[in-house]
Amino acid sequence: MLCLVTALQAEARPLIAHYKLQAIQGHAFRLYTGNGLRLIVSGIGKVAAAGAVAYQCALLDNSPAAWLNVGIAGHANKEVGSALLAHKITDTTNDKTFYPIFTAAPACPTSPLYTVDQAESAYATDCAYDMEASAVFETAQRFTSGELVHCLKIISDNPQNPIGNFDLKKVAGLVESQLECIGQVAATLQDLSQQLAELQATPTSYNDISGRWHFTVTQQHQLRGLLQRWQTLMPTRDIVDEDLLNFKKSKEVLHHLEQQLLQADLTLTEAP
Amino acid sequence: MFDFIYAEEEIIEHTRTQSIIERYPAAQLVPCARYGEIFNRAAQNFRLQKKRPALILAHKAGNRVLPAPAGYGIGSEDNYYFSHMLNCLYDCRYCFLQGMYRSAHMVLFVNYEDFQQDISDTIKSFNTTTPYFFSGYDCDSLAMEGITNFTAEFLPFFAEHQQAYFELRTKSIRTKSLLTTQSLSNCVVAFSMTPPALASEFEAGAPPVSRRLEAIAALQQRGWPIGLRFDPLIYDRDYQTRYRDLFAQVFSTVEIKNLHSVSLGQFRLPREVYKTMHKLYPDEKLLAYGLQEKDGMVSYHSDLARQLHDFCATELLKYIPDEKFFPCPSTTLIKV
Ligand code: SF4
Repeated sequence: MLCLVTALQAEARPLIAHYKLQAIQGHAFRLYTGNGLRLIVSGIGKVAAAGAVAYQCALLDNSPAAWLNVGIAGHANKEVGSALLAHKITDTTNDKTFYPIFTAAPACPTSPLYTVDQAESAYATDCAYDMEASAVFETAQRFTSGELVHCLKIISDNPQNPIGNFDLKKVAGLVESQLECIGQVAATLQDLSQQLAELQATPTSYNDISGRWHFTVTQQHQLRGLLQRWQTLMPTRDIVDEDLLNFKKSKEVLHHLEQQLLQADLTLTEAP
Repeated sequence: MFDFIYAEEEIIEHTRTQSIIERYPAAQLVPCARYGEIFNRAAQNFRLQKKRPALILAHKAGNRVLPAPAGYGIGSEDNYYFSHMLNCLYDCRYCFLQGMYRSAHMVLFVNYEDFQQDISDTIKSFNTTTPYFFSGYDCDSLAMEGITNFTAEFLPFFAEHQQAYFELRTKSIRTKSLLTTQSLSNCVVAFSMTPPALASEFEAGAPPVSRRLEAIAALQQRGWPIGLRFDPLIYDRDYQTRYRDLFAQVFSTVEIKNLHSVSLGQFRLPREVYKTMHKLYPDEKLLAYGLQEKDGMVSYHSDLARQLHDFCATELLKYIPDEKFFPCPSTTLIKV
């Protein structure tokens, strides 16, 4: 699952059209879904962005979601229309810094990104300026692994084309012009989310076994670990058999599984 | 090789930092205040990061020379380790680093001169005994040599400190700097060895055993003392054939006169490290079979551990004299 976060409806519109997303009615934020994607329109600023990420997160199941903040930004020297992935995000209110983690070569150039409270018109340092990224990043990484959160910005203004002259009607066009790049980043993130979901999947028979006996929380962890090992070592052998069903206590079940695992015939590679 | 190089602001002007940055003009340089902001933060996945790790250049502020864990020694009571790097170019599935660190990025501490000062101070505190300094604990000593220049900086240092021993522990064949230097009798080049089929399965990125042996052959010809580390010993149904063949292969190359030491190591991990590794690789047979926990450590069930160890020890002693052999300390062969 990939969750897209935009501040403005105009930023969302090309994404909704491109990914053929459907609106979901009756929510505190504008929400869209389709094709393994969610999109939430947060509104402008950090509070709105953090709220939107948390809201979206509460609606998801437990599988690990990836997050991509897409939006416009100003920059001291980059051309209008160019796309940037943030490699360092600083919340200028409190100087908190975040470092997005790249697990593949970035799909476009990268840049430091300052998240500011008021639109930046001085472009004081050689970096990008936006109003949401630090909040999206900080909030999303509470719910998922850092590799699954990125911020992609399309430059809308710079010293030659200052924000004061910016026509909001151009926003959708800027995002639309970078759909290919957005698509590449989105595909990488969806792939990572899928990989994590597979690694964290509940092992076969876990629900069945944990429903038959009472396991303490510690024992549930042990059971999960044992069943994972079973799946790895003896993927074709049934776990729930007559022997197992004869046990009365959860402790006996765990001991039995442990013993069975020790009897597995282990060859780590084909011929030595 | 690196898309990103993070560098602590404090050492960004250090000559070693600058020369590494110059080597990678295409890499994006990202200054940071402390390497821990990137390396130690919560919510990271080592397995995902290992796809494309970044390089972090940092300053090691303290705790640069530490007592080596029990069982790490090869003949001395006084064993220390120092880590100029954290993490490794290779990706061995049994490596404890995956469970130890949250990040797979490679950290290089560029303040070698501070390490050397601390080592020198430690040596001075030993008047009569010979301390050992191990360098490949949190990394492979040679794998990143092309970037780190580690041996070029530390071999001359240990040449001047003959009363101490220095161990380079490696699976790498980056031995050029050693082959072009006068060998040092107090520097042991110790190669980790695993049966070839297991090495190709579980030591991703590391040179095959045959190439390691070629490197050993060249080094011993130049007079470098060689160490062999069969660590960790890995169990499976065919372990006897695997290790018997490996020893035969190894000792058809290694000459006993140049052999400094041979040691065995148990597959043994702190519980939390193992738990993290198993979470990262729930589908990995190596981490699924025959392991039990006792006193906070996870290792092979005692019968397996004993069988594996005793078989390897017996086989090895057919090739090497007793005084060069350092089996697993009995404390690591715990009774579970
Ligand atoms: S070579 Fe050593 S340090 Fe590197 S991954 Fe393998 S076991 Fe770990």
